[in-house]
Amino acid sequence: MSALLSVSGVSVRFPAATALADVSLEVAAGELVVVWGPARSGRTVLLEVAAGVRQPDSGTVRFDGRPPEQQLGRHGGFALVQSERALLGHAELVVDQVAFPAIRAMSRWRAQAAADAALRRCGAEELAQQPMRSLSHAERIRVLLARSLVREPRLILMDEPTTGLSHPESERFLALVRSLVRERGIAVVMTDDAEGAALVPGARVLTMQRGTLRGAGPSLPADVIPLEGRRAEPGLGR
Amino acid sequence: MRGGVVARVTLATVVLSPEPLTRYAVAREVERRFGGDDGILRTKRQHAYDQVPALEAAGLIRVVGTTPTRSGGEPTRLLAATQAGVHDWRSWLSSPVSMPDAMTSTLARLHAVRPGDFMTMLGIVDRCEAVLQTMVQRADDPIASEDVLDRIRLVWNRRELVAQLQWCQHSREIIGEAMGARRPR
Repeated sequence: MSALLSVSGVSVRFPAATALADVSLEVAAGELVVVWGPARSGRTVLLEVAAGVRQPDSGTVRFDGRPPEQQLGRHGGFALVQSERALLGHAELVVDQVAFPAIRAMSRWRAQAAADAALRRCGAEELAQQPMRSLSHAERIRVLLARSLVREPRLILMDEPTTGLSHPESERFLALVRSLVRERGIAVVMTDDAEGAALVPGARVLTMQRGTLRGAGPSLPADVIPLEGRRAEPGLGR
Repeated sequence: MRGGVVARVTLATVVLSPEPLTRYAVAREVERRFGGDDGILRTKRQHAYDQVPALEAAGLIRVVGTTPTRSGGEPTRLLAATQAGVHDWRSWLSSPVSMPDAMTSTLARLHAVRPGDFMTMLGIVDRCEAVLQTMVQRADDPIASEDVLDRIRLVWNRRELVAQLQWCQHSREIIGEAMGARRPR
C-alpha cells in the first residue's frame, strides 16, 4: 500500500534545541496514527511540518506525492486541526465557521449544506446557530473537526484534540474519530499529551522524545570479558 | 535455551561474573541481584541453585576448576559460562520483549547487562516500548463495553500502558544522562 503522507528524514532545529531529528513517517489511507510524547518532544512541530505550514531544515514531506502546502485545505486534500488557529472572529456562528473553508469553492448555499452535514456527522448539529464564544471546550473541538470535514479530506492532522477534555468527553470524541476512519476511510494523525487519553485501540502508536520518533530498533549487546581473559582463581560472587 | 526468566538471569550471573563461581555463589548472587522481597523477580536462592545443573547439561556453563571446602570434604566445583552460554545470553538481551510480564522481563534484562553497556540498555528499553505500542493497538476498547466494571478495568489497563510508556521515556533519559556523564570532556 502506498503512503498517503510521507515524511522522510525531516529535521527542524531551533537555536536552543532540535525539535525534530531525522524523523520519518508514512501514513496510509484509512490509518489512525497517534503520536504520543511529553511536552516539548516535537509533536506539534511534526504536525506543522507534515501540513506544510513550517518548512523543515532538511528532509522532504509529500502528500499523495506532492508538496503538502498545495493540498492543505483543498477538496480531497488534508486538513489541519489546531484548537485556536485559522478561526474567524469569535462572534461568528458555528455554521459559518464550519462552512468557511468551502465558501471559495462553492456557492454559499452549498457550503452551508456541507457544513450542516459535517456538523451532523460530528454530532454537533444543534450547535449550528450558536456563536463560537458560547461553546464549551468539548463542543469547540467537535466543531473544529466538523470544519475540517467540509472539504472531504483524505487525511486529518489533529494537534492534541483530547487535551482539556474530561474522560467521558475524550472517549466520545475518540469514538467519533475512529468512526470517521472506519466508515469514511479518512486517515488521521493526532498528537497526544503525556496523559495518553488518545492511545486508543486500533491506533498505530508512535512515541516522540526529544525530537525523535520511535518504534523498536534492534541492537546487540556489547562483548563481555572474553572467557580466556578471566582470572582462574576461585570467586565467591561477592 | 529452555526455561523461564530465572534460568536466564542465572546464566547472566555466570556470564557477567569476572571469575568462576561456585553453585552456591551463583545462587546467592542471583538472589542479591534479582530476588529478595523488593527484587524484580522475588526469586529465592534455591530457585537459581536448581537451575545450575540444567544450564550445565545444556552446555551453557561448565566446570572450570575446583575450590577446597572449609570442612575439608570434596572440593566444590567452579563454574563459568561457555561460548554457547555467552551467545545465548547475548541473544536473550537482544531478542524481542514479549507479553505478558513485559516489564518484569525488561527489568530483568536491564539488570543482566554488563555494567556501563548503555547502548544495550537503550535497545532493551526500545524493545519494551515497541511491545507496549503493539499492546495499545491490540487493547480492548473501553467504550465498546456495556458493562461498567468492564469499562473501568479497561480504562485501568490503558492507564497502566501509559505509565509504562512514560517509564520507557524516563529510563531513556536516565541512561542518556549516564552516557553523557561518562563521555570524556
